[in-house]
Amino acid sequence: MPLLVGIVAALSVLGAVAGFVARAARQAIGFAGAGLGGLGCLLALLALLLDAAPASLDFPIGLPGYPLRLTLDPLAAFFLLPAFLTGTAGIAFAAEVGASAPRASLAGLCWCLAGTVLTLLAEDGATQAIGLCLAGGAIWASGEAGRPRALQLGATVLAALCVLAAKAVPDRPIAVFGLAAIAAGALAGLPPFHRWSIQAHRAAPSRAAALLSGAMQPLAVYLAIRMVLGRSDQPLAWYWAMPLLVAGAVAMFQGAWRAAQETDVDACLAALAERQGGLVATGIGLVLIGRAVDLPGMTVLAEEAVFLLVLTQAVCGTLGQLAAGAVRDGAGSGRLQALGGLIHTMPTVAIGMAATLFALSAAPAGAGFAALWLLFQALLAAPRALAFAPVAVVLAVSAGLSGAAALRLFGVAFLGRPRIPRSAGATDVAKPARPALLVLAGFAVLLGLFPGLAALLAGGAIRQLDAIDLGDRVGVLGLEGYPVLPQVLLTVVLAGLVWLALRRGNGPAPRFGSAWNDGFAPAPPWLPFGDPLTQWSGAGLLPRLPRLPVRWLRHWPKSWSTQHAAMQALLGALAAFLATLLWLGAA
Amino acid sequence: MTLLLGIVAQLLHIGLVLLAAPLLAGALSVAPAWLAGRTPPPFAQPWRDLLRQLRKQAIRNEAASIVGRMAPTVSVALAGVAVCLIPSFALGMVSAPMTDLLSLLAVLGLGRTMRVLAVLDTGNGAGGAAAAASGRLAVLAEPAVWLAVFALALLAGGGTLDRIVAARLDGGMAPGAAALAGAGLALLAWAACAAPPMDTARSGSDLVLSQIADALNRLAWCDLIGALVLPYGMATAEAGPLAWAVGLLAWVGRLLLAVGLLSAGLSVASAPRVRSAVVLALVLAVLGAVLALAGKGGA
Repeated sequence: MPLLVGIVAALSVLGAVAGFVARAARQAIGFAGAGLGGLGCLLALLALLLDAAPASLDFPIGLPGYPLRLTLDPLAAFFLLPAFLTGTAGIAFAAEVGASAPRASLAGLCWCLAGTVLTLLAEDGATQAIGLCLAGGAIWASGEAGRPRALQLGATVLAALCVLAAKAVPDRPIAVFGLAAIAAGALAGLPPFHRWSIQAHRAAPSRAAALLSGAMQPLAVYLAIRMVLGRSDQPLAWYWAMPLLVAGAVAMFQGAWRAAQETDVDACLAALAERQGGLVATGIGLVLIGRAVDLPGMTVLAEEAVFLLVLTQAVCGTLGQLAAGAVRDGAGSGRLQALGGLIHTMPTVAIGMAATLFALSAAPAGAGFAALWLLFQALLAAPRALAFAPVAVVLAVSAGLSGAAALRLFGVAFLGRPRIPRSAGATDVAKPARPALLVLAGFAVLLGLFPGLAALLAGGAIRQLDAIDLGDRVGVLGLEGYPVLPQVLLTVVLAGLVWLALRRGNGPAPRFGSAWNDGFAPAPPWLPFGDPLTQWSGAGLLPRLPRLPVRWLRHWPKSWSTQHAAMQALLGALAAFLATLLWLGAA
Repeated sequence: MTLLLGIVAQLLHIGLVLLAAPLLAGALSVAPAWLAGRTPPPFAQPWRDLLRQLRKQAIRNEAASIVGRMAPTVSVALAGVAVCLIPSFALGMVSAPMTDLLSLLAVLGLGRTMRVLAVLDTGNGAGGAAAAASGRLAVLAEPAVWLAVFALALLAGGGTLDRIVAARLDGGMAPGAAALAGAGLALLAWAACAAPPMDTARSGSDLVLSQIADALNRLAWCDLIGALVLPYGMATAEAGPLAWAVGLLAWVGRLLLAVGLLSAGLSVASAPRVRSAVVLALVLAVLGAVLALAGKGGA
């Protein structure tokens, strides 16, 4: 515990120093910050593996009667891991490739990590609010000011105020629940607070966006769990899960739909992060129902899904934003229509992005599939009620949409031919920064293959929340009934056999040339990469929504397109469907 | 002894499906002509064509990356995994715990995604349009798969294919919801088999691999739908060789029926019909899930 406090203090000092020193010294400070983050990672991992008992540290400072008290319990220790992991990667990346970045950039990252860790360790609301403001303010300060950044700061301050207010009414669980939902929703960018999230991700430098996605979102989940689930003595009635399920459903659908539509790499990733937030909200809603109806099996499955989603978001949010920043720097643009064929020129970034998209979509053997599988198992273990039908429908629809979004992003930006000459001259990320991307990509793959690892690491937190032991159901090699690892091994063996058979077949070696292009004339000489218009643009992947017959709705308000109006109508219909089923289920 | 019988049944199953895949491809080339009253091509014609292709040199697009090079091999391996794990004549094989229906169908979906990525890798205009059409179908097909499996798992009390088929044999599943979910999956199977080929620009060994993957995928879907809709006669691995023989006969019967239905179905397939079938599958799967949730009373 004193070591962790030392790390927070040292990071704050480094952040302060980084704002004033020259470029060469800044790189050294960056390495020191990354080293401190790595040390924190190791400490958190040790605390989780050794199942350390809760420890507290009192400081003789604070408001009268409310001394500053920091506590490290299994729940905080679990969330320290993603925070330090994201912070380490972000600071290391900034030190390597961002030596020419503004001074505030590195300082902001150090302070943001320090603020995040302070929030996780704080026991009282005031310190939590201070930590939140420090983390949010540091991200705000690390880039150019503007409306998106102001909105992001506003959301953080709102979350801090809600945390403070919740501590003032500890005996009113419903008020605490409402304040926690607002705080976590504002911080994670869930509807109705989603507008700032995509804009802020776009406006922030990639390292700050990585922390926004990889550290702030898990922090929002931590606050929600601590404030809503941390009090197992007074379980809320099952219907209090409904707002979470509705918000989760809207976020899942909207995030996945946007991810398949956005024209920017960063915006696609931010939308996928919104979908992850929706999955987490659904998971927490299912935990609440499991507790209310006293079904420990359902509760544990939903909690395992939530903790797996948190680790996935920390790893993939960071990795995706760092890779997107590398694309912006290396290929000159983040717009999908200005990219193409980057797998040839940016192989490391392509690996990072492939691992991110694989884990965030619902492809089998990815962490996203494992989390979705766990959520479905929780639904299977739930009492039979029609109210779960819309949840299952939206989970399934968002799985399909996220797969399409991942396919589109990778297919358009990284495969095929370059669409403009600038993307043909793209350069991969600098050599010293490559290990950071590759290690994170390795973690993303590892989480998908061994989802039991996340559950094992969260074992202490689950015990703290619900006094349930995971027992033999969860092992390092997998979860009970989750068959993906043997399937992956079988796939590798079969692919190896096919490859060997082809090599032994003595067939002629393949030749590379221009393949048959369905009768299209060859591109003129001034288009050396072929005619960009003959390549798929990524459009037309989503099913067309029905056009609304009401004419005035199309013209009012003017900013609404037919698609937007149709989407709102669809969401309205979904809400009505949910309300009907809820009424039927309750009856 | 049970374990030994499970292993023997598994090995026999793998041998049989490896034998059945080429036979099914041959039958699917003969049966449509036979049904239409035309002179059918020789039974082994598809495989003769493949052998001829194997001797030709593959031409790959200059823009192709490692994704395009690996995709045919990986899609054959993924289809092979599905075929090896979906039971044909006996339940309770050694692979029974690995037959989680959701992941099996996701494996088949991943094979399709790999092929879409391989087509996008060439940067070819028409291929890209075909890939987009396939992706658009997947946006609807994937939720249909999740919901149909959810309904079946809810009714059977477990998500493995072995469990679902056993519950179906015992008559322990509510018929309405199970029929809706099964019909949804059957429509998806038809759509998967009838979808037009995307990778038309392949040649040589790459073409051979993608056609083998097609054949394995069709066998996987036939086995899966056969086991879910008509599981009658299916043996258990521990019942011994005599029961296996009965299961084998039932499996051959199911495959012959599938060949007949698929030949008729493929002859009427068109892109709009495939799209409509996927939409209908999604609607059926949603209804199946709602019925399955409603079937056992309120919370």
